Amino acid sequence: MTTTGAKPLANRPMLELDGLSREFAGPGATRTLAVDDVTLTVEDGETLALVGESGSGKTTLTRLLLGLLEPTAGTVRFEGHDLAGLSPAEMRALRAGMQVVLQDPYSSMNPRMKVTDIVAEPLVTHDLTYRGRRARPRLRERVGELLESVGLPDRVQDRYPHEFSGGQRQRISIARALASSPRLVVLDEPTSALDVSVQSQVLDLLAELQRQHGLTYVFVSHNLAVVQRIADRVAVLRRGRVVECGETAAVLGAPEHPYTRELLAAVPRPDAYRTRTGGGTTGG
Amino acid sequence: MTTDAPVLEIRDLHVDFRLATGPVHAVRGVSLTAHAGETLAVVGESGSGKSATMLAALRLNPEPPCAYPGGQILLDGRDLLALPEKRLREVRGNDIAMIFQDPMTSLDPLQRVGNQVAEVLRRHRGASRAGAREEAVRALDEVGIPDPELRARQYPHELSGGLRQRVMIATALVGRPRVLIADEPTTALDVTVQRQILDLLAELRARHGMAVVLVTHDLGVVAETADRVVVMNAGRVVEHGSVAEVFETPREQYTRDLLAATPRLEPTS
Amino acid sequence: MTVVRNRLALAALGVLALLVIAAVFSPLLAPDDPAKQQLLARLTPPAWEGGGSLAHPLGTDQLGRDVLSRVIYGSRVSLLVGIGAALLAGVVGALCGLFAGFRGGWPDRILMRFADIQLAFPSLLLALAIVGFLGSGLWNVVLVLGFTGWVAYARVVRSEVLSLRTRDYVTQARATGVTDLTIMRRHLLPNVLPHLATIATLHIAAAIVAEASLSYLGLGVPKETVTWGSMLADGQLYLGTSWWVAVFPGLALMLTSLAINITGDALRDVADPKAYRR
Repeated sequence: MTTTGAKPLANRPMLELDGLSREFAGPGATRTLAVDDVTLTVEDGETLALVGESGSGKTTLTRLLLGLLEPTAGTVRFEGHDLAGLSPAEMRALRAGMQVVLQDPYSSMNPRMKVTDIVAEPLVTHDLTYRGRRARPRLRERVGELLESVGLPDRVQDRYPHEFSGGQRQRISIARALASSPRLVVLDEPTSALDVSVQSQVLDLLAELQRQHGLTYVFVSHNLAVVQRIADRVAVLRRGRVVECGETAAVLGAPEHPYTRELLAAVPRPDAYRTRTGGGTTGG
Repeated sequence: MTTDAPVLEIRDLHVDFRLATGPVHAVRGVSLTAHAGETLAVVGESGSGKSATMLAALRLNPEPPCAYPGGQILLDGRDLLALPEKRLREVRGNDIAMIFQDPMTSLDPLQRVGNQVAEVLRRHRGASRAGAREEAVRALDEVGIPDPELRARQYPHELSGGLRQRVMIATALVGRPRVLIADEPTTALDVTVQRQILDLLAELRARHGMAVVLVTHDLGVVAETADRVVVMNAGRVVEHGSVAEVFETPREQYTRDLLAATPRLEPTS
Repeated sequence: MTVVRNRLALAALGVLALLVIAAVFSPLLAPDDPAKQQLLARLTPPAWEGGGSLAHPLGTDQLGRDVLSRVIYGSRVSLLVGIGAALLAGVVGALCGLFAGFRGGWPDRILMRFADIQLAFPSLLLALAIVGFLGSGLWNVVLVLGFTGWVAYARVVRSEVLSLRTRDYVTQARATGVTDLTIMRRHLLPNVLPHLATIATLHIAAAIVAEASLSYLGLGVPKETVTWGSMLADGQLYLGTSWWVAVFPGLALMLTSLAINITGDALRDVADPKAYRR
């Protein structure tokens, strides 16, 4: 496997967010704080879930930690490197180490590109030896391996995105995210757009890949049941702030913040019919 | 729950989409009933034909390419598939109404919310302009929109997703329909808002004695709100029964798989 | 697929094929030298009219030149000007639109303001002014018509890019570390190309007509080059007595412009993402 990009500094957490804030211009002269003084660390090999509803700032936060958006205050450190202090070329090189899988499997792929080129994009971006016609057989071989690791046959390489179901597309997205051998993968609601049966397969796949490659995950979700299944730690976001952060079992089992309790109470439970009185309104 | 004749009965419905690439049999012989005062959940994954079935109940699938090669859709015993378009328009909104997943695409972005509700009122009840406006504010109030006077003057984009869905429900209810079809009404919403909308639907159902048909992919939502459930897969009904029956003693492997795959929050302490 | 299924588009394509053949093989197809004057046979009517002869199937003009040959040779200028102008405007417009849409900020504002100003000007008037300044000539006409046409391309490309650049796959490419130039080339350009093709067809038709207008006004290509526009200008004096001198080049112009527009419509259907998905 080819590993490119900046060397990690020793004895530092994989990802450190320190006093991170981001303001946007609102209507008129108002300003909105989408992310408000967030301090979080993500350790090597763990899964941190970012939980929040719409408007909680979780999307802005992921864009900040991926270096796609500049913070108004605070720092993002990836493997010890402050993203703000990097030159554009250094930043590009560092991106090999952190990849992202986005929610919508339909808009996350260029409809006019074949699977080979979609999955290979991080490869050709970060490894010059994969460029050009003569590298093509080697490239296809590598893409084949990546597809196999996400449970797709090699023969899909020459197909276009529209020929796949949502679940298959999300597997292709995951294969692409793994192509540059990243250490950190940001999973932005990767299963929210999928059918439940497919969702559970994709979650299993993600857990398996994490074990195989020793990946670190930042898992963004609004679904607490999914978070409970995959995350080691949970950070609950509300209006740009982290209201509660800790071990998954602790946060979901004994939530301290009222908002976390409200979130937990709102999750529909498949056994709720037992506690309901026939024909009445909903039970708890 | 009532045991009298169903308000809505679908009998052996077939829905085809005749596309350039060949016909797609989206619905292959679906039968179901909805009774006044109950919530029927129609559950299935994408491609199960659940939405095509419920759109057919209002004849809202575009024809062509959609065609109905067989079956009946009986509303109080009247077959909607045999009605001409003009009569259908009287049925829609008055006897049977529908709300959708994304209220933003169902609301007119250039019209004030209050006007949109009032418009429906005038069409269905022949209310006067001023009367309709007042009535619209009352309708917004009924679906739990705070400060309805102010909200009525706003545009859809000024409202949150939850409020927009409430507006949709208000417009669906002004014709006092006997059947309300809700197609994934909370899928686009946050969990805390979803809970409120589901509660609202249950409350309105109890107050007006409507039949509510809830189309969803979420078995948690089914367990929270439905009386009976119909499980669909590949255009067919694979299982139906009371929620307790289907959840506790599912007969079909498909239902068991679906139940097993549903993520559930385990008690941790 | 949609193009083939559409019979009208098929007919239009047939007309265009004929045009291309006429332009490429003019010397072989034309029965006569388009410049050869036969003063004794001036204003001969078409073959089917009384006094016409098969030697000049579409008659002759006021200097006794064969109209059919001139219409065939005229297609060369039309095609060259149309395609040349569209190519020039397309490249300039697409680059401007791509850059403005992707970068945003002040380059966007300046480029688009400039485009607005140019749009506020009647384009034929602008063309007249530039030709007056540069002098007439085939390539100057191409240059002028290309320059007056870029705005349409730039605007469409820009608005497409504005929506494309927020697509997840562009975000994804940025997160992967792909350079801006590569993103534009790999992800944006291929997705705006079908739209470009649609505008190009409209522009080709407009440029052919505009060239005819310029030539009609005597500001187009040099007198000795045959163009449909100059034929129209010559023929209008004799419209009352010898209609064929003006009507046949006019007909050729109309048919060509119509055929290109119909092809453009069909292309737009193909470019539609829903049709693209088949």
